[in-house]
Amino acid sequence: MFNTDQTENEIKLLKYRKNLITSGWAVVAFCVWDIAKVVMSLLLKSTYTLDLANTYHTDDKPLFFFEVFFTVVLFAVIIYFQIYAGVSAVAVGKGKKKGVGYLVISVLLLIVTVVSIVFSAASIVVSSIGTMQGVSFDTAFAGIILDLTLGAALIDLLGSSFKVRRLSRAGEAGDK
Amino acid sequence: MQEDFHYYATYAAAILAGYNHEESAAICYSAQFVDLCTRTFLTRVKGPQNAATTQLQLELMDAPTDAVGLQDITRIWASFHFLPYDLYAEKPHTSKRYLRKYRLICGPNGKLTEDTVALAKGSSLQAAGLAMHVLADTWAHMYFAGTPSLVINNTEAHFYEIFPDGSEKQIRFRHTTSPDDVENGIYTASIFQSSENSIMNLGHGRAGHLPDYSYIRYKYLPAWGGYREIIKDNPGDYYNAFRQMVHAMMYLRGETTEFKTDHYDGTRADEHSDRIHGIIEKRQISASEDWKAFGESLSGRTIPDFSVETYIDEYMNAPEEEKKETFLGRFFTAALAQKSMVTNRIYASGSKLAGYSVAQKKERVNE
Repeated sequence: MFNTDQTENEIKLLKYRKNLITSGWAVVAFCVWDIAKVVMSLLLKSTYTLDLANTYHTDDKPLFFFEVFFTVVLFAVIIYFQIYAGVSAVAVGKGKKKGVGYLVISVLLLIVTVVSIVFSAASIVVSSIGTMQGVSFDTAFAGIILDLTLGAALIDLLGSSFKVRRLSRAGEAGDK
Repeated sequence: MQEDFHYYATYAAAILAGYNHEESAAICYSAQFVDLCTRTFLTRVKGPQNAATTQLQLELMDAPTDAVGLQDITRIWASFHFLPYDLYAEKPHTSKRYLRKYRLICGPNGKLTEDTVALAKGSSLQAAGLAMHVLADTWAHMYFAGTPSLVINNTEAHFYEIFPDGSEKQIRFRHTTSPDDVENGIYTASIFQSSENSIMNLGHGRAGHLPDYSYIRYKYLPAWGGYREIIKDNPGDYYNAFRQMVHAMMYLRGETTEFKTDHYDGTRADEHSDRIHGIIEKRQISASEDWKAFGESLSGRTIPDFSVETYIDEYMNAPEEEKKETFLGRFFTAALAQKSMVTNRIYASGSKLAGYSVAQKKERVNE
């Protein structure tokens, strides 16, 4: 029935490769959430954003646009990193690629995600005591849930990557 | 399995087991008829609806997949096409819900196979044919379950054909109505549906027709296998199925006194081993012509082409009290007995996946 040539190591390796592929695609899919989050924030807080722009002195308007431009670029970089990490994880899972670049990026993304969760939680707390405007509890709470899920996907991606590397090395050592 | 094996190969096995041409024709007709006795057909001939032994694709599309609907589907498919191997199998760290489905996984040489053959003993030729269909399918359809279940019946991209020289090629399934392209290894399978009880996850739909092609060897990851590869050797399994049919029919004829699982006819079939292996291993979608030629060479008679119309008039024109003695009437009786037996066994194992068993429930009430 079962393939008797398949060792326990190979079975585990197959399992973690499949995990890696799933986590990789999950990380890529969460880009959709990231983009939606930003768009929703801008739409919901559009008045707030305009008011913010208007608080800048006329001479400082270029500063405002520079800050906006920088934010957009930063956001685009994060999205690119996310797609790169996810696609690379999928490629490693399929055995088509080796390398650690995507792992470094995944760690950075995890840090960004944790910071996002912390800030969202803080915004809920602060808005509940009425010192910050323009923060919706529902949006922040939904954001926390989804960021937690993204965090879980990134942790699974990292864990599966390390397991794949370790099992692959063990397999190669066994072959020698 | 398909017509080539259920009809023509069963005929050949019946001849080798010692049945004459007419008896073998009745047996093989019944074996093939299991794949055609649908509720639509029964409505047409005004036969008992509960005697349905299969469901058309259109019937499945219309079938509800609520609890009662699933029980109805499971009763048919588990009884006739995916006979469970071990209704008391254990698997650690699983929920009861999962275990009940896991226990429906089909496999040859199980207790239910023994019970199926025993049920046909002393009964009609139609019962013998029905039993041969069920027995043969335990070999082809092993590792799949006759209930819609993603967690049991799903497959995925890790699916490779193994060629005689040992090389492997990944099989890519498509989801069209085009026929399978055997030469280029392009096969059709059901679409992935994430819903656990989707009809797409019934039986071996996710592996397409591969279990029904006698020539192919392949390896894949079954959903229940914990990332362990299954190697399916259809040529070997089909040969064992043939030999086991001969063994079973020799028992049904009374030539031997016992039918034992894990036992195969070692003489009569093996005399024709080269020819049978040649038929089984030929890379073709249907081996009907080759099996037919083999069967006719054994009996010296012509095997009539299968037609679902053959016995309809006899059944429909018979008076009500005599319908049971007609060809179809005997088949319906055998089908009801088989379905009742398997449903009882599944219910007795503690699973309601095939529904409640009336006979079993009465016994419990009387306890």
